[in-house]
Amino acid sequence: MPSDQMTAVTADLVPAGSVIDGVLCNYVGGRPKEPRGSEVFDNVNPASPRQRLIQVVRSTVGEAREAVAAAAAARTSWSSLTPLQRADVLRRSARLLSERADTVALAMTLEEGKPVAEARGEVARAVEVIDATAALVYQPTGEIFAPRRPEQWLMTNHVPLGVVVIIAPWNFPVLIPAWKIAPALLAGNTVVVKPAELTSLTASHLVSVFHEAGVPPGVLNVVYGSGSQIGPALLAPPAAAVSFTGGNEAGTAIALAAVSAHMKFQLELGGNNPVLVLADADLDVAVREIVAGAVSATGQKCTATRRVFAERDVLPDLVDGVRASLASKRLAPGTDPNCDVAPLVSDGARGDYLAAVARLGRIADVEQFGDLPDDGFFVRPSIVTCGDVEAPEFGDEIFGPLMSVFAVDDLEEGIRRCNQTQYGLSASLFSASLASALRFTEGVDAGMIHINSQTTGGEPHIPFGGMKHSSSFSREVGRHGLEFFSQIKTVYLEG
Amino acid sequence: MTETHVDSRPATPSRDRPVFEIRHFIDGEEVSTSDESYFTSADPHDNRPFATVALGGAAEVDHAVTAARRAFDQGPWPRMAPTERAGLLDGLAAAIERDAEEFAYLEARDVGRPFQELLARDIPRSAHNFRFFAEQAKLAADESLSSAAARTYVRYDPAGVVAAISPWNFPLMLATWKIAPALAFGNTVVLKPAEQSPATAAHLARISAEVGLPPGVLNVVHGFGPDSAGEALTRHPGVDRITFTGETATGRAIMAAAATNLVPLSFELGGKSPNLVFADADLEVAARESLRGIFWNAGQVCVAGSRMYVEHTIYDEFLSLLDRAAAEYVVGDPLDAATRVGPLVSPEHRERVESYVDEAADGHRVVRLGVRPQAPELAAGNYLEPTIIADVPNTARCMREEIFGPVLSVASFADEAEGVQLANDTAYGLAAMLFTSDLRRAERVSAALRAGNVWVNCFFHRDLRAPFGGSGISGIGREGGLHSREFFTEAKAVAYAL
Repeated sequence: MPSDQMTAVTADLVPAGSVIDGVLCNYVGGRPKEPRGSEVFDNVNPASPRQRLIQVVRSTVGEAREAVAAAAAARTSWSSLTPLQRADVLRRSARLLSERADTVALAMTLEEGKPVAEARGEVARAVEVIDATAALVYQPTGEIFAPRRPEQWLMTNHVPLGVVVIIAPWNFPVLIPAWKIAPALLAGNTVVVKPAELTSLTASHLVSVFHEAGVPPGVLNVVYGSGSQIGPALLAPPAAAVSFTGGNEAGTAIALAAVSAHMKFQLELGGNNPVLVLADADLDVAVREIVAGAVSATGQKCTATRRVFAERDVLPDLVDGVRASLASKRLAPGTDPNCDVAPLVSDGARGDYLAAVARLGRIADVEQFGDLPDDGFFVRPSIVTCGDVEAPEFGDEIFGPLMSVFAVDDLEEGIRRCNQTQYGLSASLFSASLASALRFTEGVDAGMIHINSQTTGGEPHIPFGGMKHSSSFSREVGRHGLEFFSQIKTVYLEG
Repeated sequence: MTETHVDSRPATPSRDRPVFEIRHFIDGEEVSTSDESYFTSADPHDNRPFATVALGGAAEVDHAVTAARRAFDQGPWPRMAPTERAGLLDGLAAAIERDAEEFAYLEARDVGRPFQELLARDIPRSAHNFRFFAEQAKLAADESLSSAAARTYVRYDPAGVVAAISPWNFPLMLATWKIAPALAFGNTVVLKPAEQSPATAAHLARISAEVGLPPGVLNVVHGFGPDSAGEALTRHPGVDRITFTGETATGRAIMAAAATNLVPLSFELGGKSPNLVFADADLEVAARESLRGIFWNAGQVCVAGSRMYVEHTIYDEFLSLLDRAAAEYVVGDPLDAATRVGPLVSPEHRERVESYVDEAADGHRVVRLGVRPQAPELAAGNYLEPTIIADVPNTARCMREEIFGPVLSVASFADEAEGVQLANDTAYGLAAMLFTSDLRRAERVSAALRAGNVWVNCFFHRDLRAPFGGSGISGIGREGGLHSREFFTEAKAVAYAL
């Protein structure tokens, strides 16, 4: 039965000291907390759902409050360290994570489903992001301003917010918590992180790495469980801020709760990211990047390519290229070295995808590719051929390997169509033209614009975030990401 | 309602203003040279005297530096809050705008620049120089840095007395481009304008006192370079910074002089800037901007795109396009509203430019030969029509040396690599233009060109926040925005132990 298999498969994949009686436990105040409630949930392998990976505690409201209290109690122990000392801890964390990359990646593949090569890539990016965040310590942290009178100094100091709550998604279970935790810690905050239930095991590795690298007890706490159950307990004093990545519905609820509790909030939400291909584009490059943008991580990225607009003349060749590419993709478990398309993360995700395909199939033609394995939450990649159809459904977020393809007459129509969505996270243009690149960059409402590359991806030192309903107008990662996690104290110093 | 036509353009000014006297401006007062020596400034339109100018030397420079030193060491200027200095500099900007027609007239007569162009461009830009740097100095924040042991604050304190030596090709615009940041960041200034263009500098100094700049903050000494006011200024031990725009040879002399006192300097020198036109470019735009890039101000522009390289597949087509479009560059009296190109600055300079034209025309393909215009009313002036010479190898003198006149040398290139190689085959590195519609090419080529400014599908877009200056023998350092702050201040790190 499942529990026996679990031991066999994952004993080496669980960080030391994070399990009590076979259950993955909260880590609060520098030690694993024995669960006081009885609820646990099973995390399964999406490629083989009868295989239970691990049981995870489903925290109670009281346990969530304890974690926030522990973070509050640890505030001075962390904020009184110098920024350089905090940066050293981050750099050590990055080294440890790098050494453990294979283990963490395998845990991620088994738990979240993504191909192991992509999981390794994600861990490597997380290492880079933590390092790049640590490097920000050498940037100036405050300013001096021109005085109104001689003998007067006007200056700013940047100080921590206090306790920061981090609510992380399952689709990048290491990278996204890493890019929130690292700047939160560097700025001198203490943290309570609530990973997505579906990827608790993967997240536990990250928390463990930070502790082994020297984060003091209580500075970084983790609570597992359901956001709807313990969210209200986390979004209350003494917590000072919340940084969330996930769906728009949950994001809105979190923002409302944060406003009521007078907490600073940061939301990174959904997307429906367009690509525009002009007639002068290199079509081989466009096909390669569109397919990668739509299908990698089985399309479960907030920056995934969802709509493709192409100038009429090149649309047939482009679609043929995409078809040929998708037809060659092999659906297989992420642990299979020949896997191109892994399963979706859960049965619920599969249901949502199939419903979206059915919905779009009523207004346009759907073609599907690949052979479904017998077991697992696999779905077939889809091309929705839309011609000139315009409908609001195409602008909704869909989490899965699907792209809708449309014909447009020119750059301007393409820009208008790209903007037909409530979202504004990322967008790509494929063209050889300098003028078109400049116009697209100006005309498309997206937080991240890619010219001749896919809609996904991000460098570890430059801002990540969206416009419109894709974010709460702040940015993550790098210098701009750090800004959220501190507040400004203005000092008037009279001589 | 009846519509009345209001012509906001001022009437064409006349040349009947009598010859007048231009004096130094030192410590808040106009002064003559102690022995009353002077030189004459001529109008390039007819080479008749326009003004008599006090000829300064070591004594006047010492007087001016001493006044600037006192104003810096003891006066209110460097001790004022930036907001207060900004108020006075804004006042100076407003006074420039108020006197725009007078400035434009003085400069048109002094150096032969078209009057309407001065009114439309140079004079407003000169006022803007003061406003921009006043705001920049007011808002530019300094850093603070934390470490385990101390918190370090960085201050940018005024540097001291700035010696500014400005050129004659854009007299007011380039003088204010130096004076404005120097003053805004709290320094005091001694300006030595080029001997060909004393008039607007003198008027600027006069109105600076009027709007309330304290005595000694802005001083102007007239004279020549070698063995004259210029050399005395660069050797004076009371000077803390030297900023110079002009010829490369002069730059070398100034650097040698500044070495004695170890004075930091900022040079914007000559250029022989390349212009790459690729077959995929919008050729109409390329022709229009390229011609502006070489015939504007009769080619007397440091950033002029004087070497043009055209992709071989469009070479002949583009040459005819250039030739046709060049007809718009009407040579004429700078006071005449129809004039696009005025006279060159002096008879000697015209002869020098003509020597390049003669040499280039001999043995290369002449697309358009610039001669002295036939019109009798231009006969006494230093006029010269635009020249375009093609098939010029990179070894030719007109491809290697700065001509500073309306002479465009053109050659073709086979491919991008050759184009870039030809463009970079120079000791200069001031500016470069490139015309292409290809995104990747624009990125690749602008990265590969060795120049302080690269203009893609345009000429001379200047953002005052951006660095301006050249590499190679085109200059030392950059000015503009925070780069100006870096030059005109002394950075000071103040560490407070924690």
